[in-house]
Amino acid sequence: MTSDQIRQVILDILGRIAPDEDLTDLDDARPFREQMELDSMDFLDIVMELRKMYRIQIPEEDYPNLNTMGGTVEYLLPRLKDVPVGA
Amino acid sequence: MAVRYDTVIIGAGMSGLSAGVRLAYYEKNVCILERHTTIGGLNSFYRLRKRNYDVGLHAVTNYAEPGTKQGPLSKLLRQLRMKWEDFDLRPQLQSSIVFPGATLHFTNQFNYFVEQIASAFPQQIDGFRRLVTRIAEHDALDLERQSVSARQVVSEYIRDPLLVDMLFCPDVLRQRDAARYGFQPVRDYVQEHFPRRIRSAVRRDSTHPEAAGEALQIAGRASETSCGGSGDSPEQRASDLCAFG
Repeated sequence: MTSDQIRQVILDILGRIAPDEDLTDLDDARPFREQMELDSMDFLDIVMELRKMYRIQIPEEDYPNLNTMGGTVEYLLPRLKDVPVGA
Repeated sequence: MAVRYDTVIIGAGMSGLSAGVRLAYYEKNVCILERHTTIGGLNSFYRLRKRNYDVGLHAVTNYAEPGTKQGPLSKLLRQLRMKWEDFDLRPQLQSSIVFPGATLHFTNQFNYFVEQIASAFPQQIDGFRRLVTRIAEHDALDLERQSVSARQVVSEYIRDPLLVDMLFCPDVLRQRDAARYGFQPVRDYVQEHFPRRIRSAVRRDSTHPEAAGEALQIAGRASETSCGGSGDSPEQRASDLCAFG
Protein backbone atom coordinates (compact mmCIF):
# COMPACT_ATOMS: atom_id res chain seq x y z
CA MET A 1 0.00 0.00 0.00
CA THR A 2 1.13 3.54 -0.68
CA SER A 3 1.04 6.43 1.77
CA ASP A 4 -2.10 7.79 0.15
CA GLN A 5 -3.83 4.45 0.31
CA ILE A 6 -2.89 4.02 3.95
CA ARG A 7 -4.15 7.51 4.69
CA GLN A 8 -7.49 6.69 3.08
CA VAL A 9 -7.75 3.45 5.06
CA ILE A 10 -7.24 5.42 8.28
CA LEU A 11 -9.87 7.94 7.19
CA ASP A 12 -12.30 5.10 6.52
CA ILE A 13 -11.64 3.62 9.95
CA LEU A 14 -12.13 7.01 11.59
CA GLY A 15 -15.34 7.38 9.63
CA ARG A 16 -16.65 4.14 11.14
CA ILE A 17 -15.51 4.90 14.66
CA ALA A 18 -16.60 8.54 14.75
CA PRO A 19 -19.23 8.86 12.03
CA ASP A 20 -20.37 12.31 13.11
CA GLU A 21 -16.96 13.93 12.62
CA ASP A 22 -16.08 16.02 9.59
CA LEU A 23 -12.71 14.73 8.43
CA THR A 24 -12.30 16.75 5.23
CA ASP A 25 -9.88 19.32 6.66
CA LEU A 26 -7.89 16.98 8.87
CA ASP A 27 -4.43 18.35 9.60
CA ASP A 28 -1.95 15.47 9.33
CA ALA A 29 0.53 17.18 11.63
CA ARG A 30 -1.81 17.85 14.57
CA PRO A 31 -2.97 15.13 16.98
CA PHE A 32 -6.29 13.47 16.15
CA ARG A 33 -7.56 14.27 19.63
CA GLU A 34 -7.19 17.99 19.06
CA GLN A 35 -9.27 17.88 15.91
CA MET A 36 -12.05 15.51 16.84
CA GLU A 37 -13.77 13.84 19.76
CA LEU A 38 -11.58 10.81 20.23
CA ASP A 39 -10.87 9.21 23.55
CA SER A 40 -8.57 6.38 24.54
CA MET A 41 -11.29 3.79 23.91
CA ASP A 42 -11.77 5.08 20.35
CA PHE A 43 -8.03 4.93 19.89
CA LEU A 44 -7.95 1.26 20.87
CA ASP A 45 -10.72 0.67 18.38
CA ILE A 46 -8.55 2.14 15.63
CA VAL A 47 -5.73 -0.21 16.58
CA MET A 48 -8.20 -3.10 16.62
CA GLU A 49 -9.59 -2.23 13.19
CA LEU A 50 -6.08 -2.27 11.73
CA ARG A 51 -5.45 -5.63 13.34
CA LYS A 52 -8.68 -7.09 11.99
CA MET A 53 -8.19 -5.74 8.50
CA TYR A 54 -4.49 -6.43 8.03
CA ARG A 55 -3.59 -8.73 10.91
CA ILE A 56 -1.02 -6.21 12.03
CA GLN A 57 -0.12 -6.20 15.72
CA ILE A 58 0.80 -2.84 17.17
CA PRO A 59 2.58 -3.09 20.54
CA GLU A 60 1.48 -0.71 23.25
CA GLU A 61 4.81 1.07 23.36
CA ASP A 62 4.29 2.11 19.72
CA TYR A 63 0.95 3.81 20.38
CA PRO A 64 2.50 7.30 20.62
CA ASN A 65 3.40 6.98 16.92
CA LEU A 66 -0.29 7.00 16.11
CA ASN A 67 -1.17 10.39 17.63
CA THR A 68 -1.33 12.15 14.28
CA MET A 69 -2.32 11.12 10.77
CA GLY A 70 1.21 11.86 9.56
CA GLY A 71 2.78 9.74 12.27
CA THR A 72 0.31 6.93 11.70
CA VAL A 73 0.94 6.73 7.96
CA GLU A 74 4.69 6.88 8.51
CA TYR A 75 4.52 4.10 11.10
CA LEU A 76 2.34 1.83 8.97
CA LEU A 77 4.08 2.34 5.62
CA PRO A 78 6.91 -0.20 6.13
CA ARG A 79 4.50 -2.64 7.78
CA LEU A 80 1.90 -2.50 5.05
CA LYS A 81 3.97 -1.92 1.92
CA ASP A 82 3.49 -5.47 0.68
CA VAL A 83 -0.16 -5.64 1.64
CA PRO A 84 -2.79 -4.92 -1.00
CA VAL A 85 -5.45 -2.35 -0.08
CA GLY A 86 -8.38 -4.71 -0.10
CA ALA A 87 -6.80 -7.29 2.24
CA MET B 1 -18.30 -30.81 20.66
CA ALA B 2 -16.89 -28.61 23.40
CA VAL B 3 -16.65 -24.90 22.66
CA ARG B 4 -13.97 -22.80 24.26
CA TYR B 5 -14.84 -19.31 25.38
CA ASP B 6 -12.39 -16.57 26.20
CA THR B 7 -14.89 -14.87 28.43
CA VAL B 8 -18.04 -15.88 30.25
CA ILE B 9 -20.37 -13.09 31.24
CA ILE B 10 -23.01 -13.66 33.87
CA GLY B 11 -26.18 -11.77 33.10
CA ALA B 12 -27.63 -10.54 29.83
CA GLY B 13 -28.63 -7.19 31.20
CA MET B 14 -27.39 -3.92 29.78
CA SER B 15 -23.94 -4.25 31.30
CA GLY B 16 -23.49 -7.86 30.27
CA LEU B 17 -24.68 -7.28 26.73
CA SER B 18 -22.52 -4.17 26.34
CA ALA B 19 -19.47 -5.94 27.71
CA GLY B 20 -20.21 -8.80 25.34
CA VAL B 21 -20.43 -6.46 22.35
CA ARG B 22 -17.12 -4.79 23.21
CA LEU B 23 -15.31 -8.07 23.82
CA ALA B 24 -16.68 -9.61 20.62
CA TYR B 25 -15.43 -6.54 18.80
CA TYR B 26 -12.00 -7.36 20.16
CA GLU B 27 -12.33 -10.83 18.65
CA LYS B 28 -12.98 -12.73 21.85
CA ASN B 29 -15.32 -15.71 22.02
CA VAL B 30 -17.96 -14.63 24.46
CA CYS B 31 -20.62 -16.62 26.26
CA ILE B 32 -23.35 -14.70 28.04
CA LEU B 33 -25.34 -16.63 30.63
CA GLU B 34 -28.82 -15.49 31.59
CA ARG B 35 -31.09 -17.32 34.03
CA HIS B 36 -34.22 -15.48 32.99
CA THR B 37 -36.25 -16.32 29.91
CA THR B 38 -35.39 -13.10 28.16
CA ILE B 39 -32.56 -10.61 27.91
CA GLY B 40 -32.43 -7.02 29.07
CA GLY B 41 -32.06 -7.47 32.82
CA LEU B 42 -33.45 -4.50 34.66
CA ASN B 43 -34.43 -2.98 31.33
CA SER B 44 -36.66 -5.80 30.19
CA PHE B 45 -40.39 -6.39 29.95
CA TYR B 46 -43.06 -8.85 30.99
CA ARG B 47 -45.98 -9.96 28.91
CA LEU B 48 -49.39 -10.42 30.47
CA ARG B 49 -52.61 -10.99 28.58
CA LYS B 50 -51.14 -9.88 25.25
CA ARG B 51 -49.72 -6.67 26.61
CA ASN B 52 -46.09 -5.80 27.27
CA TYR B 53 -45.20 -4.10 30.52
CA ASP B 54 -41.85 -2.38 30.54
CA VAL B 55 -39.60 -2.89 33.50
CA GLY B 56 -36.92 -0.39 34.25
CA LEU B 57 -35.84 2.61 32.27
CA HIS B 58 -38.41 4.91 30.84
CA ALA B 59 -36.31 8.01 31.03
CA VAL B 60 -32.72 8.67 30.10
CA THR B 61 -30.76 11.51 31.61
CA ASN B 62 -28.00 13.28 29.75
CA TYR B 63 -30.25 13.37 26.71
CA ALA B 64 -28.49 14.89 23.74
CA GLU B 65 -29.67 15.67 20.23
CA PRO B 66 -28.59 13.25 17.49
CA GLY B 67 -25.17 14.28 16.24
CA THR B 68 -23.97 15.68 19.55
CA LYS B 69 -20.36 14.63 19.77
CA GLN B 70 -19.67 15.11 23.45
CA GLY B 71 -21.23 13.59 26.48
CA PRO B 72 -21.93 10.10 27.77
CA LEU B 73 -24.74 9.20 25.37
CA SER B 74 -22.64 9.96 22.30
CA LYS B 75 -19.76 7.91 23.68
CA LEU B 76 -22.01 4.99 24.46
CA LEU B 77 -23.48 4.91 20.97
CA ARG B 78 -20.07 5.18 19.39
CA GLN B 79 -18.53 2.40 21.41
CA LEU B 80 -21.43 0.05 20.86
CA ARG B 81 -21.67 1.00 17.19
CA MET B 82 -25.30 1.94 17.57
CA LYS B 83 -27.11 4.68 15.73
CA TRP B 84 -29.08 7.46 17.39
CA GLU B 85 -32.15 6.22 15.50
CA ASP B 86 -31.85 2.80 17.17
CA PHE B 87 -32.67 4.42 20.49
CA ASP B 88 -35.76 6.26 19.30
CA LEU B 89 -35.35 8.80 22.09
CA ARG B 90 -37.49 11.87 22.44
CA PRO B 91 -36.68 14.92 24.54
CA GLN B 92 -39.09 15.33 27.41
CA LEU B 93 -41.89 17.86 27.19
CA GLN B 94 -42.02 18.71 30.86
CA SER B 95 -41.65 17.16 34.27
CA SER B 96 -42.85 18.33 37.64
CA ILE B 97 -41.72 17.88 41.19
CA VAL B 98 -44.83 18.20 43.32
CA PHE B 99 -44.44 18.36 47.08
CA PRO B 100 -46.88 19.57 49.69
CA GLY B 101 -46.29 23.30 49.69
CA ALA B 102 -44.41 23.71 46.40
CA THR B 103 -44.28 22.66 42.77
CA LEU B 104 -41.34 22.94 40.41
CA HIS B 105 -41.62 22.25 36.68
CA PHE B 106 -38.61 21.50 34.52
CA THR B 107 -37.77 20.80 30.89
CA ASN B 108 -34.49 20.10 29.09
CA GLN B 109 -33.90 23.86 29.10
CA PHE B 110 -32.09 24.42 32.35
CA ASN B 111 -32.85 28.15 32.50
CA TYR B 112 -36.53 27.36 32.78
CA PHE B 113 -35.82 25.39 35.95
CA VAL B 114 -33.78 28.29 37.35
CA GLU B 115 -36.75 30.60 36.75
CA GLN B 116 -39.04 28.12 38.50
CA ILE B 117 -36.84 28.13 41.56
CA ALA B 118 -36.57 31.93 41.53
CA SER B 119 -40.33 32.07 41.50
CA ALA B 120 -41.08 29.41 44.13
CA PHE B 121 -38.06 29.97 46.39
CA PRO B 122 -36.94 33.60 45.93
CA GLN B 123 -34.79 33.47 49.08
CA GLN B 124 -32.79 30.53 47.70
CA ILE B 125 -32.15 31.60 44.12
CA ASP B 126 -28.77 33.20 44.81
CA GLY B 127 -27.61 30.13 46.66
CA PHE B 128 -28.91 27.96 43.86
CA ARG B 129 -26.97 29.86 41.22
CA ARG B 130 -23.79 29.49 43.28
CA LEU B 131 -24.55 25.78 43.67
CA VAL B 132 -24.83 25.45 39.89
CA THR B 133 -21.41 27.07 39.51
CA ARG B 134 -19.97 24.75 42.12
CA ILE B 135 -21.39 21.72 40.28
CA ALA B 136 -20.03 22.96 36.95
CA GLU B 137 -16.55 23.15 38.47
CA HIS B 138 -16.80 19.71 40.01
CA ASP B 139 -14.59 17.10 38.42
CA ALA B 140 -16.47 13.84 38.82
CA LEU B 141 -13.61 11.85 37.34
CA ASP B 142 -10.91 13.06 39.72
CA LEU B 143 -9.73 9.90 41.42
CA GLU B 144 -7.75 11.79 44.04
CA ARG B 145 -10.76 13.49 45.48
CA GLN B 146 -12.43 12.21 48.66
CA SER B 147 -16.07 11.23 48.60
CA VAL B 148 -18.42 13.88 49.89
CA SER B 149 -22.14 13.78 50.56
CA ALA B 150 -24.14 15.45 47.82
CA ARG B 151 -26.82 16.43 50.30
CA GLN B 152 -24.23 18.07 52.53
CA VAL B 153 -22.83 20.13 49.66
CA VAL B 154 -26.27 21.19 48.44
CA SER B 155 -27.26 22.17 51.98
CA GLU B 156 -24.31 24.56 52.08
CA TYR B 157 -25.98 26.58 49.33
CA ILE B 158 -29.69 25.93 49.89
CA ARG B 159 -31.06 26.79 53.31
CA ASP B 160 -34.64 25.69 52.79
CA PRO B 161 -34.94 21.95 53.62
CA LEU B 162 -38.05 21.66 51.43
CA LEU B 163 -36.10 22.75 48.36
CA VAL B 164 -33.24 20.41 49.25
CA ASP B 165 -35.66 17.48 49.49
CA MET B 166 -37.29 18.47 46.22
CA LEU B 167 -33.91 18.51 44.49
CA PHE B 168 -33.26 15.04 45.90
CA CYS B 169 -36.79 13.92 45.15
CA PRO B 170 -36.06 10.43 43.73
CA ASP B 171 -33.88 9.70 46.71
CA VAL B 172 -36.59 10.89 49.08
CA LEU B 173 -39.14 8.57 47.49
CA ARG B 174 -36.85 5.58 47.86
CA GLN B 175 -36.17 6.09 51.52
CA ARG B 176 -38.01 6.42 54.78
CA ASP B 177 -38.04 10.20 54.24
CA ALA B 178 -41.01 9.74 51.97
CA ALA B 179 -43.41 9.44 54.90
CA ARG B 180 -42.41 12.90 56.11
CA TYR B 181 -44.27 14.36 53.12
CA GLY B 182 -47.09 11.88 53.12
CA PHE B 183 -45.55 9.92 50.24
CA GLN B 184 -45.40 6.16 50.20
CA PRO B 185 -41.96 4.72 49.37
CA VAL B 186 -41.99 3.45 45.77
CA ARG B 187 -41.35 -0.18 46.67
CA ASP B 188 -44.32 -0.25 49.08
CA TYR B 189 -46.55 1.44 46.49
CA VAL B 190 -45.71 -1.17 43.86
CA GLN B 191 -46.24 -4.08 46.21
CA GLU B 192 -49.55 -2.69 47.31
CA HIS B 193 -50.93 -1.95 43.83
CA PHE B 194 -49.36 -4.67 41.70
CA PRO B 195 -49.03 -7.72 43.98
CA ARG B 196 -50.31 -10.27 41.47
CA ARG B 197 -48.06 -9.05 38.67
CA ILE B 198 -44.99 -9.39 40.81
CA ARG B 199 -45.96 -12.86 41.98
CA SER B 200 -46.73 -14.10 38.48
CA ALA B 201 -43.40 -12.80 37.21
CA VAL B 202 -41.60 -14.66 39.97
CA ARG B 203 -43.58 -17.81 39.15
CA ARG B 204 -42.53 -17.65 35.51
CA ASP B 205 -38.90 -17.43 36.53
CA SER B 206 -39.13 -20.47 38.74
CA THR B 207 -40.48 -22.70 35.94
CA HIS B 208 -37.13 -22.39 34.19
CA PRO B 209 -34.56 -23.47 36.76
CA GLU B 210 -32.72 -25.36 34.07
CA ALA B 211 -32.00 -22.08 32.33
CA ALA B 212 -29.43 -21.33 35.00
CA GLY B 213 -25.99 -22.19 33.61
CA GLU B 214 -27.20 -22.69 30.05
CA ALA B 215 -25.68 -20.51 27.37
CA LEU B 216 -28.28 -18.15 26.00
CA GLN B 217 -28.66 -18.38 22.23
CA ILE B 218 -28.62 -14.67 21.51
CA ALA B 219 -29.44 -15.00 17.85
CA GLY B 220 -33.08 -15.83 17.33
CA ARG B 221 -34.40 -14.28 20.56
CA ALA B 222 -34.99 -11.15 18.52
CA SER B 223 -38.27 -12.64 17.35
CA GLU B 224 -39.88 -11.55 20.62
CA THR B 225 -41.40 -8.10 20.68
CA SER B 226 -38.67 -5.66 21.59
CA CYS B 227 -38.89 -3.76 24.81
CA GLY B 228 -40.27 -0.29 24.43
CA GLY B 229 -39.76 2.27 27.09
CA SER B 230 -36.24 3.57 26.98
CA GLY B 231 -35.88 2.68 23.31
CA ASP B 232 -32.58 0.99 23.93
CA SER B 233 -33.12 -2.42 22.38
CA PRO B 234 -31.48 -5.52 23.85
CA GLU B 235 -32.35 -7.22 20.61
CA GLN B 236 -30.29 -4.66 18.76
CA ARG B 237 -27.37 -5.34 21.06
CA ALA B 238 -27.96 -9.06 20.68
CA SER B 239 -27.79 -8.90 16.93
CA ASP B 240 -24.75 -6.67 17.19
CA LEU B 241 -23.12 -9.36 19.28
CA CYS B 242 -23.78 -11.89 16.54
CA ALA B 243 -22.45 -9.55 13.88
CA PHE B 244 -19.16 -9.19 15.73
CA GLY B 245 -18.80 -12.71 17.05
